[in-house]
Amino acid sequence: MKLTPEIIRLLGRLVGSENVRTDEVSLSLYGYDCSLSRTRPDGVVFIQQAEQVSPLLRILSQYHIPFVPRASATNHAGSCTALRGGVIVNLTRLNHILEINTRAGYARVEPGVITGELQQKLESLGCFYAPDPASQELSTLGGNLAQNASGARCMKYGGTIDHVLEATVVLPDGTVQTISRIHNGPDLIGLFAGSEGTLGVITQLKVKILPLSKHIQTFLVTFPSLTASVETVRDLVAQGIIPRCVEAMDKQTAQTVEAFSQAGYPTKAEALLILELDGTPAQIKKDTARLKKICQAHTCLHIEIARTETARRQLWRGRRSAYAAMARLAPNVMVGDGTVPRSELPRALEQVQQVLASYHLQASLLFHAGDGNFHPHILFDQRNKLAVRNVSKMVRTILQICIDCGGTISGEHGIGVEKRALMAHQYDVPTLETMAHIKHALDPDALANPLKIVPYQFKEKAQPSQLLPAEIETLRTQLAQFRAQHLPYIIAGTNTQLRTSHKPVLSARTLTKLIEIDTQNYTATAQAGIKLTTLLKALHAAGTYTVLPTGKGTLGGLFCAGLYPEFYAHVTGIETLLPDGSYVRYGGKFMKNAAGYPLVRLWAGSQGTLGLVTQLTFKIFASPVEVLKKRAFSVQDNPLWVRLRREFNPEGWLINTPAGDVYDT
Amino acid sequence: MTLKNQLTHLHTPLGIRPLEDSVAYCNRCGMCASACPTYQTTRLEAFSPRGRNQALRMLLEGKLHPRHQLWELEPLVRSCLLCGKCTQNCPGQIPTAEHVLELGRRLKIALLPNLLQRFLKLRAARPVLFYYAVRSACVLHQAGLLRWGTVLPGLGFLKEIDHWFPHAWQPPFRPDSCEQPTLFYLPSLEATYLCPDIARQVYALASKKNRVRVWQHQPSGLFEYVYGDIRLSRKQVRHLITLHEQEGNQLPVLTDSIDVYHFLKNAPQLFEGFQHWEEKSAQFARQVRFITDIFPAKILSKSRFTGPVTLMPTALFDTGSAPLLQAEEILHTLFKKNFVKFGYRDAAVAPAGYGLYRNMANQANSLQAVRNLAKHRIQTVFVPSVFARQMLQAQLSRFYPSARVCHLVELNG
Repeated sequence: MKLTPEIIRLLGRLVGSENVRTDEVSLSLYGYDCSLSRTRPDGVVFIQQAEQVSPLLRILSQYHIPFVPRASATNHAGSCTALRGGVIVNLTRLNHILEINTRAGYARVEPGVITGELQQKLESLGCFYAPDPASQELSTLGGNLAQNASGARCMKYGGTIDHVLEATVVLPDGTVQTISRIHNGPDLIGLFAGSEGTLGVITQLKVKILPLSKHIQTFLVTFPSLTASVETVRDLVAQGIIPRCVEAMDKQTAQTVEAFSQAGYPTKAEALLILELDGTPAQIKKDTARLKKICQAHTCLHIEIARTETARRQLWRGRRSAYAAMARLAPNVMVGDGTVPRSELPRALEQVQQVLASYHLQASLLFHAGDGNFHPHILFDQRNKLAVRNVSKMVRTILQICIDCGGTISGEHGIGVEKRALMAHQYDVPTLETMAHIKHALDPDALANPLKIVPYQFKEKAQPSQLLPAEIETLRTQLAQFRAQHLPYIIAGTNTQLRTSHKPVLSARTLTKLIEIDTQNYTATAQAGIKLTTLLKALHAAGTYTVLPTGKGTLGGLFCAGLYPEFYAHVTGIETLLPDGSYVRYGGKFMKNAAGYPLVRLWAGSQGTLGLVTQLTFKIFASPVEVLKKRAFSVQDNPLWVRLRREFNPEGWLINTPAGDVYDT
Repeated sequence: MTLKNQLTHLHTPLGIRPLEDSVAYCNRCGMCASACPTYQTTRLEAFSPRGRNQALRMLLEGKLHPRHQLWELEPLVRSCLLCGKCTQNCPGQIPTAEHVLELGRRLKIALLPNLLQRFLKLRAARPVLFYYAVRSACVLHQAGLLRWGTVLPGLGFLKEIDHWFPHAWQPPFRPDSCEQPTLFYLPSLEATYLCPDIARQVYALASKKNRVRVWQHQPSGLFEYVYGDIRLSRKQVRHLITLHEQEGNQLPVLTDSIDVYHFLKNAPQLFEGFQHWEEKSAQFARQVRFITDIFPAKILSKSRFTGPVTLMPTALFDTGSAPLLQAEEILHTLFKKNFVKFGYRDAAVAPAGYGLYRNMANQANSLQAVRNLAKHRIQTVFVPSVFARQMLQAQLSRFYPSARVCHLVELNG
């Protein structure tokens, strides 16, 4: 809808007329991001103060005008282009660091603060903010959360999703809400991470800050094959050595990078790894010896240790300039982004290299070996339509390989508009429908960044659903009966946390299988009804460890009760039976997933109000790890929980338990 | 053929490219914006190098119209400080400053007030006449009559000359004539008219080992390239090339301004399509030298500079070119631990801006530079051009008076 003079006047009154632009140049300059997508919005509004966002969205909602929140627009997915026109809400001027509390370990910031600026400020205070996306010099903290950005340090510290403690968001109808993991209910910060502005506008964040590592050791290791390098990383993780960063590149990339940056990379080895350890000097020394042993076991060619800070910077200079080395060779660089389980990485890389060789386009391959995330850099000229078509085809083929290897189409960059169609290749109808439900619950009029993430007409194109195991089918039949008889029911595990005598119960007691302990990827898959004691015993028997505590109750109960929010980051895959009888599968054995809303976080802490979690895949470790501590119970509910409950349970047969009364504290 | 007031090809850091290609190499990754002073201050896409590149691209593609969008595009051009920090931070080394100038030419934007523009045109067309005009102005100034001239539109800047260029009213630099030169010295506009002391010092330094012929009153063409008609700029460079050829085309040409150095090094792009002149200008460009090339092995005046020193790489188009790196190395060798290295990101930009368009960015950036200097307790700041020296000195005298700004040539005493 075009902006009428009346609306422009209203907006001008709110933010100042000089901050509402409808001239052709402004519309053109706010119609792109780092992807190939180019659009033309109807207006641009420059937000001056966070308080202006809510009334602005209220006006837009009143006139049914779509909007797209935008900060530095450095994403590679077309996440902030206005597909249906409307207003670009520019947040770059909300760039104040409001508070840094090093003792309590948090910083309170506005969404337009540039990540690199916060890092600089924290460094002088002896702290750091863990997520370090490659674009951190310009990308903003709000943008990072909206895209769930992560960087080289992600393997050890996790992505943005795990480093935001609290966020203030404005929903498309103008409602201001503060969301946090302290409250009961689903992890809404998790849902907003990777939402790409489709659920609302983030106006303030409280991010976690950590004390700066004083001791860092960087290694450059070369290998005779890509497989050897990937297997080394797998064994490192297996031995409990979690490097701060693990970056890898193939021979061709190393040659291109070396020619450009002269970082001292060997150009004859088939693969090279840059590893970084941090911790206490004693710990580093111990890990270095073990690391060397593992590398040698995998026939590494050469190990170089950066002894000085200059040498360390030199090693990183090469890796950091990899994009620049490619960017100067052609007008456009398509940076692909796919993730597979670590064990599948050699197979996937081999196939990807074949694809890269089969198209007559110059390309290189970089990957974060630690989490199975790889980035092919493909050179082309956007003005050549045939080349664009070939590149799109090539990227599609590569991402299909990821899906076939049990991976995901995006590990870091998000979906936006560029990978939207591919979502149907990865997920089945119920999973995509769940994503559409989340969007509908928080943005019923589809005004916030419309037409993104969820593919258009996905019902015809989505993957067919797989057959369900017998015990799930039984539960599904039971659920159908409750619905047919209009019987209000509740969902429970072993009734450890939720002490209720209400009947009937849709119980996870029958789901007690430990499906797999995968020591290749270091993940375990178990059904939700498995008792924690049984699960831990089995894991110990296999020589593996987990962060889960011992005690009464089931795995699903612990996940859904919301008393262990740190556990959410360990869960990589989930399967759930929804109140409408559909069965959702999300995630898997891969470590990162930026394809769509992180559904794991929808059911995390949902207390059985949004469906029955039937199966979880979570990270395990080769050596003992610190066990999670139970957090204090909150009497306050997450403010948006009600909306989600209404959306997922419209008939109301699943009873939404008032949490505070019946939960064991 | 490039007879027009436009460039069709650019000499970019990564080779010669047609303008359309040069613009198309922008991937919109935004790395440039993190180094751009105007974006850092305004946080607006229109004031970011990415925005400026995209605007030119859309203009070339016909999506924006030079006449219809003139008023909207003008601030994009005027606000750019042409500092070239974006190019250095860009993975693809896109020459955004050149793109901005080209955008300005295509929009036919006059960057200077009309009278000032005419004044500079006079200098380009009749340099000797211009010289006498300046001398007359000096006489008027001494008689106290010049302030009446400031009421004329476009001459308001005269009011501020005392502030920015306190040496402007000194007696002019008059070099000796030289018959068989071994080096040519092309003084910059500022060194000729506004700070003759620098021209004298450069001349003295160059004369130690060379017979120097000074090309006095010879415009380099840089001002016309930035502010005016590049046809005039071409004419001036052609004239310089002819002068150079009269003594064979092998003699080095020395300049005291890094901006002129950058411009002359890229002079062949002015003659793209004219093979004859292209070759000649390439030969000429190879002979262009900066003062760091003629420094003697032993610099005697080190003891004059106490306390921490630094090099502020304030320059037009490029803040990391070879002479600047060389200067950095010299200072590092000379002052050792007392030399504080400033990255190109910290480089000050001229507070008045090259577009003589004072926006918030200029002021904020130069204040940030002053803050950085104060943070490191810098006592002496070396700069590679007279223009930068005067601009920064004016700023420092207000906010950090204990520091002084020196042109690189002053290292030699």
